[in-house]
Amino acid sequence: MTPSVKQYLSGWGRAKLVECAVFRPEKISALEASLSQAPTLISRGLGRAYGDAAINKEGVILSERLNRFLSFDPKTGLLQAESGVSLQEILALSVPQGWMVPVVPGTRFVTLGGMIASNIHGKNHYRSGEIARHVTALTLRLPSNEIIECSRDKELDIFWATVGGMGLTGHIEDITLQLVPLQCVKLAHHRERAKDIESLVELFLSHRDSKDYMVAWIDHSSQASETLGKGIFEWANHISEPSLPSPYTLANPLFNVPFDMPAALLNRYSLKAYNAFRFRRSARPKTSEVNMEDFFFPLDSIGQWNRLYGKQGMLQYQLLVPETAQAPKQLKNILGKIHQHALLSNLAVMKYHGAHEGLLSFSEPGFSLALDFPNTPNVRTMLDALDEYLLTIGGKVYLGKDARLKASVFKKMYSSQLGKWQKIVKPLDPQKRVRSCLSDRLELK
Amino acid sequence: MKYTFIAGATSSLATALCHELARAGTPLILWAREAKELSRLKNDLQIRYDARIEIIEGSLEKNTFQPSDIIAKAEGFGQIGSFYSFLGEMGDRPSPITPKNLEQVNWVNYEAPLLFISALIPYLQKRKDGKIIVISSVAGDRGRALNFLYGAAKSALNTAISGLRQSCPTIHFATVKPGFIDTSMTFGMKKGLAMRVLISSRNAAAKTIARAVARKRHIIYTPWYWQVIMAMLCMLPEWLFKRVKI
Repeated sequence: MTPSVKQYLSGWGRAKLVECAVFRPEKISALEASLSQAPTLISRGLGRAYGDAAINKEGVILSERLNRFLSFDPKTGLLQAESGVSLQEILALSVPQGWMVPVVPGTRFVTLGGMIASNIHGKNHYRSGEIARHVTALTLRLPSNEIIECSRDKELDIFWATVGGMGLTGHIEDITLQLVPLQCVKLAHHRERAKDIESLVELFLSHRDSKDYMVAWIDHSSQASETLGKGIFEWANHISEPSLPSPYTLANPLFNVPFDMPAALLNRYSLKAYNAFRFRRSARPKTSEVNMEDFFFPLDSIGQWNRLYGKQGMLQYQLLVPETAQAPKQLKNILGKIHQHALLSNLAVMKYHGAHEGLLSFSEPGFSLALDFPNTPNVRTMLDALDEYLLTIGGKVYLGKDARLKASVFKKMYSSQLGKWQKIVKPLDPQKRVRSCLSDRLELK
Repeated sequence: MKYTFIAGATSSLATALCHELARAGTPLILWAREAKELSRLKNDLQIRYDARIEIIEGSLEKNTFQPSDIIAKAEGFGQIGSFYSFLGEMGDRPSPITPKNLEQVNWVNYEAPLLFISALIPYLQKRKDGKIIVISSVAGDRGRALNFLYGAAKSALNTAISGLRQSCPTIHFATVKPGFIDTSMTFGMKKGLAMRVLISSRNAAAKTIARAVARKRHIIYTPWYWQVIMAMLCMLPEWLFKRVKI
């Protein structure tokens, strides 16, 4: 009998709290026992998925103590590690030796397993794809405790069903990741104002062949339709002058939100003021060198920032608009629809994407918008309306952030990929023992 | 630099201490039962800290346990300077008094560590600065209903170490008494308010232990306030203590 404990778990958005039977194995033998003991299970890393992808009442397997490095070749940059290793730990190891993780999300507090399960993308998707592109092999442990070794030349179907599979194929045990060479921890960085969505789209397209990373922050407080989508465009490039600190330690957040803030803290007035301050600060174009961690991990500057939304929690909605001539108009429509519901997104981040790899993956050539909202009934109604609009334009919603998508909508959005994914996953888990609140809600299995 | 030998290296707290010592550049010899875990721990420590790690696989099976052979093998890698015993097993709570239970609890918590130590003493006595550190428990300070067999074994260990301290003055003996540490041992326990407030991280405990051992402290409570808690609990007369619901 391996110990488990009842704990209330939620996603990073804290919109739903579920009491789960939690296992925290520290050894492979304990992991085996946890998989045998839990009637149904889902693996969980550092809990940074915004929605309910890593919550399951009858069993949650925490990977945080299965976090050992298995091998690292400093000549080739090939890294093998258990799934509980965090991105922070990988960077601490690899950066001083001149290696970088090719695709990183907006926070370093994620596990390698979580990165693969959500098939994360970064500010360089158009260039480097998702993390899956750089995974050469992985070891999958089925709920029966059978081990399947997957790689580019073995069990390819299961490999592609697992990356981006939201942990629903089983517990990802070990991962082999190919890192990329790094000369300098600083990036050449440029930011400039863009007056509307059309300008932003133009900037993304004109820089895509010459820039390593691109991102835009949209000032959503502006409601005038001409300036809908005005914001700040940023690009960054790696520098080749050698400068690698050893050790590479990232400081803890300067400030931690100590407890739940009152829901009224983030209201339309404080948000307008914040947006105005932020965008005024970037009035003039600026080119400089920045520390790469400041550009990659802006979310990490404030600890526990999800508490700013208080007890109601938050919803993040990340959508993708395919790359067509209508894209700027469609993006404008989306921003406009939010305003029509008398709502404001607290944060609106835009990225440029290429095609995806992996069956259930989110990216398509086009533009994504990540929008933060408080978790209220009005917001949910508005997001349902946005879902319907996305269906009409062939858009998608990212499961790594999702907490409220309806199964019927999801099936339409992922119709070209879902059938094949389900066909591969069914024989791996005939008793449907691997499940999460997300998989139940979206009727994935 | 002399090696630090860690018996029971794959246990929760021991792993944290391995990281702490390896990070500081201490070469380690790790002894534990599960070969796969030992080898993963070794690779992890080598990759993270470029540390010198040797592993010896072995178990506490009475028929096969030969501490003198184990120590001789370890000495083959290099001279041992410090020895940590993380051997210990709580057993069921509460623990029924059966010959099998008694045998198991006493063997793992009291006899096996002492046998290891006795095999090591002849080597350390000849050297300066030899250190022997046993991980005991606050449970050994006073017997309580929930785990008195475990407590009794730890109590026996504490007393034996005290005697060894007197009989082998050239070796430094440290007794570590952890309170509630967040390990696999405590993870599944039903935690009352006291436990939830007092539980401390294994990394913090490992830091405390390494620092205190370097300073040659004899009795090391971690976190420090357990010394106060246990002093107060031990002052209670029996008629009162027997009523305390802990």
